[in-house]
Amino acid sequence: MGMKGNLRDMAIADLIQNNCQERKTARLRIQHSGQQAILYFKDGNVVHASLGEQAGEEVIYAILRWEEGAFNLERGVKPPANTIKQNWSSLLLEGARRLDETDHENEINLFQSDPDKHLEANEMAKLDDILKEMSGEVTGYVACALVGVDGINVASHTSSKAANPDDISAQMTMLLKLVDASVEKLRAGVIEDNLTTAENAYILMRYLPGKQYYLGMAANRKTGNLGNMRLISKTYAERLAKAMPR
Amino acid sequence: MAKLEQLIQQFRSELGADFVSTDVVGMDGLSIAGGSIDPNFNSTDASARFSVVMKLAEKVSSKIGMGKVDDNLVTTDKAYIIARFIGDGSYYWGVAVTRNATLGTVRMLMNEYADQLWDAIPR
Repeated sequence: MGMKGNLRDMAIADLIQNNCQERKTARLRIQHSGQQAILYFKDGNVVHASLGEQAGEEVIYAILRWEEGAFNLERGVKPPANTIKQNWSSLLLEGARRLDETDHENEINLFQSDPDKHLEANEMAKLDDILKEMSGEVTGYVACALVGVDGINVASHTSSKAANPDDISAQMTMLLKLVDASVEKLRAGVIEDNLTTAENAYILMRYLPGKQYYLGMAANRKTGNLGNMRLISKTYAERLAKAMPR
Repeated sequence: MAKLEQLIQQFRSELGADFVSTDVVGMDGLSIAGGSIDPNFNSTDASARFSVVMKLAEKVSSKIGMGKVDDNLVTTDKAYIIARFIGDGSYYWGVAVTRNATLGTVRMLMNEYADQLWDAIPR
């Protein structure tokens, strides 16, 4: 009795683990993009694997990346050779390590082939670092974010799981825009910041130069300090403006 | 109403030269007392506009779990504009002062007068 299926439903690593744990003697054929890999199981291990001209452990490492393809397992088929010496768990561990390594290399290659992307990632990480640093200087700190005037966070940091910076930013942006429009209509000058004092928190929003982004921060109402918030927001808004990707 | 106007005058005099405008405003956006000393700052418009701001502030604060709003302070290059709910929240008190004003003092005075203003609103 055999089994047929697709790798979308059962990964190669799972097929190997199941057959080895059940100590089956079997042949597993896998079709993927015009290639066929054949694996043989005996006495609780994969003992032989072939892929075209290739045979042995390297075949296992190569096919662990396959995510699509039909497989067919036939029980009772004895292996024609013994090209794999490692036990199945070591094989899978080494395969996983190689997959991680390849993914990391691909990431590096992507950045190297696209220097702008690399630069952007570095700059975004810098913004995160600045927000994190700022969080340590705000008394009663709860959360902070660098937000576009579309209400979407460019970077954010929170000390509380209860505070969702994305939700806070989306809502507070509406308020900042309304305040900005009101001040403009009243010809009361150019807005620098807006501070809302609520029952549970102080929420400060300060525009960065150009008014396309603002720095928002929330502090606990009981432990926060308005003067501290305004001073820190002013200092860090300037730093963030300089660190913004152009 | 005379008591309300009297309190506003007192508040104005305590702020001195930094005072620009103040109004006690219903949430319909209509001022019931106050006014501006700066012809370039229209307190009627400000009352109407900031009633919308305060309504939105209340709505967003509630949505993000920050609780009831006490006040909203806007800092521009020319002025500080503070809008503060008074009493049961059916009115707010708007104050505009120049950037030369000492913000801490303005807030302190507002704390001092808020309850008195609420008590002076005819009901």
